[in-house]
Amino acid sequence: MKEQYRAYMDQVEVSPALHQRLIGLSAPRRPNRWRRYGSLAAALVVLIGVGAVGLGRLARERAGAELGETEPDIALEENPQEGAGEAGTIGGYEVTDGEVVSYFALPYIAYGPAPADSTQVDYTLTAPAGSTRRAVTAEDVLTLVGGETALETHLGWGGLAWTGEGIFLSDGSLWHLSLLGEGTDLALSLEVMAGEELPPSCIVTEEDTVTDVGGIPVKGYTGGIYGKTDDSTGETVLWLPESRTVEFAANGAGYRFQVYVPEGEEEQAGLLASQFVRLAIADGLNLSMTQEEPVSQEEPGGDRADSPAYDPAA
Amino acid sequence: MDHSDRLETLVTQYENTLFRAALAILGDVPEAEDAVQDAFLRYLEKRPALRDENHRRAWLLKVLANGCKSRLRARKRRGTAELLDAYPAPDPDSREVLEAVMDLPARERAAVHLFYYEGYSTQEIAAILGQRPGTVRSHLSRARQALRERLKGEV
Repeated sequence: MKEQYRAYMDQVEVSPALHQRLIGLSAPRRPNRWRRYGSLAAALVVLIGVGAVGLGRLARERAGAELGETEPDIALEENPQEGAGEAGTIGGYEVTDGEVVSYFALPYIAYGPAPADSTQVDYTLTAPAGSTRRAVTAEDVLTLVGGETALETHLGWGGLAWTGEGIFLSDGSLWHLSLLGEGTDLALSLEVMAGEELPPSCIVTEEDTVTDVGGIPVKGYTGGIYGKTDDSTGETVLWLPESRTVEFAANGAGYRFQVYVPEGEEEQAGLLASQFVRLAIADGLNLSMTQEEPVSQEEPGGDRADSPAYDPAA
Repeated sequence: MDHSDRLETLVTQYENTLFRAALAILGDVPEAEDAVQDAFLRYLEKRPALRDENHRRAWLLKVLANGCKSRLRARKRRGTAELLDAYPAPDPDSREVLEAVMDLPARERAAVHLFYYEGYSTQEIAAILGQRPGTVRSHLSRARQALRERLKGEV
């Protein structure tokens, strides 16, 4: 089959008329940058409540706001910049949308090794009084990232099964989100915290590897493993030993995003992490998720009285 | 070398590569021609700084693939017959192979063409098509299975 397919395609050539059309092309006029991003300039209102933080999608000035864009380049480069903390790109991609073509340059992010010198602390996520929780749906994920194009093309999150939970304040705004996306060769974990604080972590590291991405410090590290076993057989059904984790705060929220991939797919993990960082910093996530009837209501002090409560102000 | 000379060199070097890929994905000659034109227009607009010829080839194929995706979303019907009318297969066996490949879903055809004809790895195909390598491998696996069943022979 291969030989026949190759032999067939080898004899396919453009017609003389098409050739003449192509060599007669001239560069189109560049579209006005503001018109290109006009739809993104329409923003939802940011809600600010007394004693609480509401989150919405923020409008951003787009002129020249592409993250770390130097020279657009489509192929991935292994380590285009020397030393952590320097701006740069690892390539990018184009998205066509009717007549509009957007180019997204993906930021280079440096990753430190797995936290070796670290302290593990126990914590309980204590939501404010009057908060409620509910499960996150696939539709919520689409709302969060801004639609199917964003999910599939901008983020590369297509084909994943989603689970997660949102904690909502008494005014209905999202306070904390935890999300897990799982596929056959990929797992993603996303935590979002309202305000400019990072989601709490049980690991405190001594030395951080930080990259400046458009003025936002992004901490990156490796070392997580994602595994899943079959409950009935005890057999490992999913084993993803490579990971990339990014932590940063932008657009009124703190993020921890972890990508788990099979061995040898580190480059793919880095790509997915960069894609998320680009979208979260340049566009922001849409955190105006609807709060349904509460599944459970939080009492002050949390439900694990034997563990110290997490206090971001401590 | 002035602009027109550079463009002619670029076109002459890559027009058939892009045209063949567009035909594989779209299966329609006029659409494939337009897709190739759009890809070169994007190149003229973006003027990307690319390391070498391999880079340039991958960049053009990526832009072409994105353009083909948009066309596939917008189209109402598939035009496989036009391809074999314009470029007949040399013998019945080749025609059978072409018909089998063109009956695959477009996303599988794209992976098959880039893998078997252009010789790209699954990682490179993933970068060109904007997919995960695992997704590309799935497409190739399904395509091979379908072709094996249809052609009842070695793929």
